[in-house]
Order: sequence, then structure tokens, then C-alpha cells
Amino acid sequence: MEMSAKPQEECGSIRVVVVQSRDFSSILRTLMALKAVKQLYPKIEITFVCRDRFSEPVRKVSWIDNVKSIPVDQFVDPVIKEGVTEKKMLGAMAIWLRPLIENPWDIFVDWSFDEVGSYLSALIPAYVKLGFSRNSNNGLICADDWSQYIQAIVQTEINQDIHITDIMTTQLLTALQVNYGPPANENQDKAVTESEFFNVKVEGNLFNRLDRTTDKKWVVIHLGASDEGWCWSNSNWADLVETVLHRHPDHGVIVLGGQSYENFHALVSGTSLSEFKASGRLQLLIGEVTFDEWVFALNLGSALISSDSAAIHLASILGVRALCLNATQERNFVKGPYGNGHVVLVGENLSVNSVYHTWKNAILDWSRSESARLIEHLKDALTESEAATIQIFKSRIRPVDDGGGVVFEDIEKKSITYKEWISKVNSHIARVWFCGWAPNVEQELEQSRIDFRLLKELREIKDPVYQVCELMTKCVDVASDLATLSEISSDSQVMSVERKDKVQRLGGELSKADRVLDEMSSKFPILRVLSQSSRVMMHNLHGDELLDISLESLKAYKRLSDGAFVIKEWVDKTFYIAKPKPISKREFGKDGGLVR
Amino acid sequence: MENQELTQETERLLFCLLQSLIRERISSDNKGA
Repeated sequence: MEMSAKPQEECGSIRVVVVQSRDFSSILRTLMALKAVKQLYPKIEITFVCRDRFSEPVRKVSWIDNVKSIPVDQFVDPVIKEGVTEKKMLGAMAIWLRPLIENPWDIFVDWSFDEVGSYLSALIPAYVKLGFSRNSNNGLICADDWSQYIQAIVQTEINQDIHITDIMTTQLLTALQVNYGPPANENQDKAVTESEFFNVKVEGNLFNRLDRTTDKKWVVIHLGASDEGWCWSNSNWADLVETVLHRHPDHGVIVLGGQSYENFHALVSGTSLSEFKASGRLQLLIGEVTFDEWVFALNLGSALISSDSAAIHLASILGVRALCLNATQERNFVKGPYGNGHVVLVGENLSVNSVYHTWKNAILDWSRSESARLIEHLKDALTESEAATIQIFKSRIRPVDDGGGVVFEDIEKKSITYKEWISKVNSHIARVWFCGWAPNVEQELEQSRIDFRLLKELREIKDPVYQVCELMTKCVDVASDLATLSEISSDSQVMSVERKDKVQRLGGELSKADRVLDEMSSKFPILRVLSQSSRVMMHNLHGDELLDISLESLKAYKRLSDGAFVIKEWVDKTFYIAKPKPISKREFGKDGGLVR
Repeated sequence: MENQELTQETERLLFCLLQSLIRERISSDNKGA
């Protein structure tokens, strides 16, 4: 059901259908990406498809034109619980699907990047498709380049640091720009986040409880687990609440959480926390709030402290600063809080002291203490072992000229690890491949962050990277020969035996090169970006004729070759940046000392 | 559409979609157990 793009002049509004069949965190990330796109293309008319249990919050977003919920239980329960055959359920599903397939959409977007999204993509007709889809053999295919990157890199957890919200935004903006021209300029600098993102209405008990005390500064704590299932213990949270309330008489604390965290109440009764609760400075809203109340409570807060991914994304959307706790850093780059000034505290055994002082210095007093002062404060407040086991990142939206998107900067500017270096290289490759532009390596790497451990790793990969560049250059030549041969052969009905042999030989050379690349990438993780992308790109080659496939394969090898040379450039430039630079004569004073 | 014949292709894709949803449910039930 794929079609060619609709000509621009036929368009009034641009009808876009967006499928997000995953969890609530994914829905919030999707909404944030859509808001950015809607600001640039106000003409888009959005229909949002999500599971029924998440549809109510989406209906509260005024610029989402239509919400179509997937009644999962209605489709699944009869089969699982009542023994109804799958075939019998298809009629009900077809009725549900009908409004989505009546008229072809201008753009179909699957941002679930999963099976459900891929089948909906195959079912719903559209002029342009983004995300995963299905081919006629039922195989999973990627409808566009960024989706290949998601499948090859993001979903295989190869290190890269482009935030998923930025990937989605860029993906849709590129499609809009290609098919409908450049965006309206006047909206480019508008903030995406806002406290009134959702139209919510809160009255009654909770409103009275919290509104009476709006002279207080509220810290919101949301009990819950990160995307990886990591969470802090309830007793740690209780200690943190107590510390904040004791040391900051001008603050109150609101504790939110799902029903599974109701045992937190037990930690309050019989302790000094119960007095804070009685005085109204501690508000426990665990397992009892509606979505509207959740938004209301977060909007009252000066900050959110949590490891719960949905809470963190909701705070990001509402423009509330988040202190996000997690055990590892990698996924924060991809799925962390979006926006300026959020803080991510990483450590496997985070102490109450570390979290409290990070909140106090990195969120509460940030305006007064810049990075250097913050580090000094933390050194004074934390024990040596506490300081050694944590890492603090601050989020920042980069200007477009610096590469754009959200980045998480290590406030201590510790030496860059090999993993982080790989992450930067892979993201650079993605920008070169899909944006056609990437910032200079010098802009991304500071000399002071390169240490001997990184250089040691790079010395080990230098030769293999150079070899892969040669290999990929050769592949481009072979693929080019194959395309030329296919072009000649396409003119005649029957391919000569000689040409057939040559086609087979060239194909064999490419297969051999693929195997070599696979073997090398199993030894050197930096090359995985190429071998994984190669696998996904080759799977997604489409065309019925040998010529079409050869041309697509040539395009894929050119892309892989570009990627290999990006890695080479990073290796070379990292050595160059790390090299001590001679000080020019002008920098010495008359007495031979350095001029400062 | 209830009175119309589903095309073979639509029927196949809807069937796959339903199976996906069922697999997800079974897997989440197993995790919860």
C-alpha cells in the first residue's frame, strides 16, 4: 500500500497519522517530537494511534487533531480467555481499522519501531511512510533511512548518543521538507516544552490540599523504575525526603508513585516524616492520582527527582527540571530527559547524600554555582568513595550549527572513555549519512578529555580501521562494476554466460568482503556500526530487476565507505587533538614567561 | 467493512497484527507470573 508522494500544490493541510504502540514514556517522547514538528509545519493535521490505556492523556493535547485508540483487550481477550479463533476476530479488527484506511494519508509514521507498528504500516495506505513496515513476504522492512539506523544501531544497543526524540523529529522534518518544502521560519525558536502542554483540570481535594500551600517550593519525587528496570529503594527515598524537609524549611515534598509503591506509606508512619505529613509539608500521592492530578502536581514542583522514565519525560514536556537517577549512563543519551538544564546522576550504589547534594547544588543552587563551583561543593559534601562512584551529566540543547539536538555533558569533564568515543563516532556517522552534514571532530572533542587509555585503544584499532577503509573502497568499485554490468545486461533479454559468470564473481567478492567486515567487527566494536548497518541495508534492498538491486547495493556500499572514512577521520583527529601543541613565540613575554 | 469481503492481503496482515498482540500479552503475563 505504498504510493508515490503527493504533489505539493494539491495540499491544504498535510494529513499525518502517527502510530506509537509502545509504553507511556514512548508516547511522551513522541508527543515532544511532534510538537517540534507542528511548530515548524503548522499545516500538519495529526491523527495519533496508541493503545487504549494511554489514549486519554493524548486527547488532552489540543493540537492533536484525532486520537484513535487500539482496543487491545477487546481484540485479545476473546482469543485468550474465551477460546474464540483468531479468524473470527478479524471482522471486529477490520471495523476498527476502516477509518484509518478509507483515504490514503499524506504521511504515515510508525514511531513504535515494533511488530505492531510494522503491521499497521503495511495495512494503512499513505503517500510517504516512515518507520518499520512489512513486505509482501511478511518480512520486516524499514521504510526509510533513519528507521534502518534505529534497527541496526539503536535497537542493538550499539553505543550512539543521538536522543530518540531528535531522531524522530529529524526523520519527520526531513520527509516534510522533501515533500512539502522548507518550514515556516517564524516558529523555529519557539520552546517545545510548556506547563500547559496538556489541557488538564484539577479540582476538589488534591487541588485544595496543594493550592493552599503554593507559597512553598515543592520538590516532586516520583517512585518508579528506569527503562532498564533499575530503581532506588523506598528507604533511600524516605531518607532523602527527610533530609530535604529538615534542611530546607521553605520546601515541601510531593511523593508520587504507582500502586506498587504503596508500602512507602509504612515508612512514613511512626517516623518524623509523619509530622511533616501532618503539617502539610509532605504530600503522599501514591497510587491515587489521575493523569490530570499528576500534571498538576508536577507543574507545582520546582524540580522532579526520579528514576521513573515516564515521570522524567512528563517533567521534560512540562518544562520542570528533572534530576534523573540511574545506574548506567548509556541509555540516558538516547532516552534521557529532553531539554535544557536537566541533570542525570549515574552510579550503581547511589547514596542519599550523593542524591541530596546533587539536587541542592546542580538544581537548587545552579544559578549561583557554575560547574567548577559545583564540583568543589560536591567534593566537600561527599565522601571520597561516593564522589568516585558517581557521574553527573547536564542536558543542553545544542545550537543547530554545533550539530543540534540534546546532549548530556559530564560536568566534571572527566576523560572520555572508549565507549563514549565510539558513541560520538557512531552519531557522527549517522549525521553524515542522513543529514549530509556533521560538526567538525574538533568541536566534539576537547584535548583535556583525551587521556592515555583512549589513545591506547585507538592505537589498537588504527590499522583495522585503515584496512576497513580499503575494503569498503574496493566494495564500492566492485558494486559499481556490478551495476554497470547489470545496466548493460538489462538491455538484452538473455544474459550471456560470460556476463553471468562475471556477475556471480563480483557478487562473490562482495559476499566475501561482508564476511571479512563481520569478522573484524566481532574483534573491534567500533566497526559494529558498519557490519550491523550493512546487514540491515542489504536486507532492505528492493527492486525486481538485477539493475535496481545493484544500484541500491552500490548506494549501500558508498554509505558504508563514507562511514569507514568517518571512523578513520576520528582516529586521526583524536591523535592530532591529543598531541601537545608547540607554543608560538608570541605567547612568551620578555622575561621568557608565558603571557596569560 | 463487516459486510464486505476482506481482501486476502488485509486479512493476512490483520491476522499477523492480532498474533503480535496476543504474543505480547502472553509474554507480559509470563513476566508478571
